[in-house]
Amino acid sequence: MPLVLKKKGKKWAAVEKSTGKVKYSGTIKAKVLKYLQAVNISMSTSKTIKKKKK
Amino acid sequence: MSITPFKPTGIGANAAMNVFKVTFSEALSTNPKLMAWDDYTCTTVDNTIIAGTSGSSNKSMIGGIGCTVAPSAGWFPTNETAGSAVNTSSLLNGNTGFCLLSSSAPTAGQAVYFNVNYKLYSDLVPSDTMSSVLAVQFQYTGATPIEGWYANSGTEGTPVWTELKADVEGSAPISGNTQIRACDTGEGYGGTETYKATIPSSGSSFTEEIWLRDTP
Repeated sequence: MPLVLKKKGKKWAAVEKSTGKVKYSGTIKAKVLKYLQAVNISMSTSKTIKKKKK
Repeated sequence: MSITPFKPTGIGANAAMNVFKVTFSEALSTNPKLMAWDDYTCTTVDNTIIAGTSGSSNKSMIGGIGCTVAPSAGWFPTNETAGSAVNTSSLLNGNTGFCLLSSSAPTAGQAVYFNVNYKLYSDLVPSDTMSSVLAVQFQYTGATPIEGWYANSGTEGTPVWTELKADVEGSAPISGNTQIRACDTGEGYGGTETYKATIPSSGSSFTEEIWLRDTP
């Protein structure tokens, strides 16, 4: 039996084309992940010591 | 819109909740998460900064906290908690250690707040992989939310929110989007701009400064 996908708000349903009877239904979910890049921390084992000018 | 590099007010182990802010234009279906991953694929946690060293008990060196109130000064988590409640910190390590950013799914227009910090250990070596991404994951079931990312360039009491540009999972960082640089005092913008950090000679220490700037 051919099905038609219908969407209303966050609900979806697959209904039989001929009878309109709901065969499957569910809630639409979407997951998003956004990021800020934390650049490689450039590490040194000791600080550069600036010598005072004489 | 580009940003002039700045250190978000209160970032790190300070009693500050107005550090980072993320807003959602539509309701979410779950509580958003603050997470850390190796890179933009948001799939692995192998870099030393997340996998840790013996000195860090093989735990992440990135601390995070979702805030509705300011945490105590000196805050930094000791453990990785999968879903640490808002106002409770966790070391950030993929799906093993992450923070919830509110007590329930935010409604349309609601903002969430968080703070982060980085701790370096004396057994690190300069060649260790210390890159990561700081990610916010959110879910929705209705209209697609437009989220805004901000960091505070004002004061804790009177925040001034500077808009940031976040990248999208699965896509490499785009030039002009915001990046995080942790370093020693004087190594950031206005200083040497080499963004270098010194490995502590013993024990552990927080990075002295954390900057935000545009990705070159």
